[in-house]
Amino acid sequence: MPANLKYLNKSPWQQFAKISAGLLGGYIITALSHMSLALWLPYPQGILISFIFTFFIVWCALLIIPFLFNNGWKAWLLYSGIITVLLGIYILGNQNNPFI
Amino acid sequence: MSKRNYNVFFNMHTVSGIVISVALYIIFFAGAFALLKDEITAWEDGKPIHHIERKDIDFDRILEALDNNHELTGRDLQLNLGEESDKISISMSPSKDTLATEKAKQGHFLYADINTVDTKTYPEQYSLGEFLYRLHFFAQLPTLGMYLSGFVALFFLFALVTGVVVHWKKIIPNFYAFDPRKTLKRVWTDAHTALGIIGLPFQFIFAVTGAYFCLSILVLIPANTLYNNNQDKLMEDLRPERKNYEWITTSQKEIPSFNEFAKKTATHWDNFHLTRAYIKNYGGTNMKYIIAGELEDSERFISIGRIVFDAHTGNILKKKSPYEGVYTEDVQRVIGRLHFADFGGIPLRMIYFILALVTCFVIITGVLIWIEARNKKSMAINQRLYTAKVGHIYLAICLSMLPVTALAFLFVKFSNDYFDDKQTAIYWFYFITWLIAILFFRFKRDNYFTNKYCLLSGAILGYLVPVTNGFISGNWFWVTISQHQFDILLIDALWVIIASFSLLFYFKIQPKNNMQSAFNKNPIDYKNIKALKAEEAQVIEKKDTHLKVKNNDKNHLPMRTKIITLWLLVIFGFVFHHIYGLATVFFKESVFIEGSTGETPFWAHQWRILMEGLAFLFAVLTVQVSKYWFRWASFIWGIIVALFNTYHVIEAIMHEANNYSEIFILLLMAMASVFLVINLNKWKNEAIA
Repeated sequence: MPANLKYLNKSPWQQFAKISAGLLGGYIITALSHMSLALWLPYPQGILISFIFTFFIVWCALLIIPFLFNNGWKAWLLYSGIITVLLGIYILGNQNNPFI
Repeated sequence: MSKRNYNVFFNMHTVSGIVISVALYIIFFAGAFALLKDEITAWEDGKPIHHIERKDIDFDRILEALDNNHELTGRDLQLNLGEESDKISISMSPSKDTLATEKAKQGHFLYADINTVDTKTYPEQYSLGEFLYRLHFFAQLPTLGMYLSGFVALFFLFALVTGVVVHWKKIIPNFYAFDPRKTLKRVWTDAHTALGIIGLPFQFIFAVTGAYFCLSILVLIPANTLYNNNQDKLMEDLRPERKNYEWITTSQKEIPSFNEFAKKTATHWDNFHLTRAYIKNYGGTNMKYIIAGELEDSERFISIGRIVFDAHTGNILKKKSPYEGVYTEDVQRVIGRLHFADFGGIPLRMIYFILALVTCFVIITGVLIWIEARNKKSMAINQRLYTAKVGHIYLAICLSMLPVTALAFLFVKFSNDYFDDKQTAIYWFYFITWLIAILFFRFKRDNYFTNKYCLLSGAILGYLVPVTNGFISGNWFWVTISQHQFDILLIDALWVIIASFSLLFYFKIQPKNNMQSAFNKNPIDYKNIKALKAEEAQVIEKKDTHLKVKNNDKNHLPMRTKIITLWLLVIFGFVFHHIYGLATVFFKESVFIEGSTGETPFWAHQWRILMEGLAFLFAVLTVQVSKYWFRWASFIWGIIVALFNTYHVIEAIMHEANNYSEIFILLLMAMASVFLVINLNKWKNEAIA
């Protein structure tokens, strides 16, 4: 009954890539997307405090996605792309930061 | 879903589940009891509780006593009023007054009895309730434990989501197909899915709120960045009740009675009960009383109310009505209510308790499925032994928690008022008995036996809980009922119920169930392991001779040469590191370390022998020794050195980030020790020629 091994990539480097993409990349995406939302939407404090419910759910979803890739480094590529875009959105929004 | 994705999801669910299973079991088992923390403390104390309405507490007397002992002037105080207990907890910050004495500049956390005004420190007031509550997020491991449990919660969420995906199609059929008369593995599989789904909403809540409570720092980092690191402003926006006021100077006026303000606040709204109070700048000219409370549960789910008074003038500076919602505050209260089940009273907490134990059952069945599925005749003996070992250890740790916890209840009852430092006493007792139980069951190597005898001993000890309570504190059932001491009664009743169920299960589990397990169908003959391994090695060797390929690894080094080299590299690293440490002498510091007496202190020897000396020793011995125990010893020491070196790099990066050459060498050392561990692991697994 265990999962069929032929579908799994057992290479330790691949596993490392997928886990690190999910944990680290996933965290950065979660943080940046939440920060951007708080900057761009109305009621910034309300958005900010809602993090406590959504943050770990989003992070968990982003933990799962890299495992669906055949190649873990491609997951990193995708995540890096998203991080760059979000960073741009965040920096733009940060110019009139409502929290300071 | 494609076949591949299904298998990937399945593997994610299995691996994450198995890795966190033991920790998660402890979290849920201890967490179930943590729901009754206050009741357990009352039960342990054994003294009747007066159920004084919080507004009627004589705060002035308590504050006066505290002032005599701890000099309150200039301090900020926080009073947690609890609900029913006769003890309230008080934390006080160090005095902000520049003229304050040394004594007043120490912060304190203590409990005050609302009747006698006696105070107790944290270790004195420590109880089994507190212990189980803290065990539930591994607080016994300082700092690390909290993050560990946080990540367990995160991966629990991961296991939940992947579990739902994997079992999606089978949820409904399994629900109806559930039949305990079928083979064991099917029972476990069906129960795992069926009960997992019933508990899902509950488990989801705990995964999300638990992750937040333990890993809130990871949420605070982005929030802090948004606030441009202005933490005071962040806290003021999100936790307005904790707002700090600057200290101006000591007031000459008398301290206004706190009792009046407490009564005034409590009667300001109907059915309003005090929960918490803050006194800011005690004895100062701008002294503030902040008194907070909530409406009765039946009236509103979330109802935070609060009045901020200027203590000297008695003016209301700010007011938050419990009838009016403020999203930023209420959302934080919701997360607390959901996690601690402090709404709906005892019935709801009982539901939480049952669901927590159901979750424990789901975790155990998951582990059982895992070990069952991996014990087939066709599998290599080493692999089967490994699976069996993991199963024995996991079940020993998890299942022995029941009798050990029951025994701990007896222990605290017998030893009540005996130890001054109850904290240490409970730590030692709980962890040592648990360790003994784990070792006993682990080396018994029989999951059926572990299960059966944990249930039996849990039942016997569980029945003894109310009996001991009666004999030692005189709190028999009929006494507590007639005196309306329901907190104490609850714990007795709970143990009777737990013990009865344990006994029921003990009799229900028959040897014939055991006969169906894979370990009985394909038993492992522990007495002849050597013969089995040798037999298998022969088979493999035969295969190998057919497939023998020339070793064309260009980087090939004989294993021991490799290991010796790596040990030596680690030693070089230590030497370099010392030289770099000396380098500051050339550039900055004087040669003597402050406070040095001309003699090398013992700690220096200790560290040098432990780190450099032992690394050298292993390198030297590897030249000559290759015994099995030695490989294991090297492996374990290698891991310790690797952890130390990694920690060292992180520490260096945090504290002396611009000492580039040192960080570089430390990084190389960490790398060398990681390679060393990898190779030592391979070496210890190599068959001895």
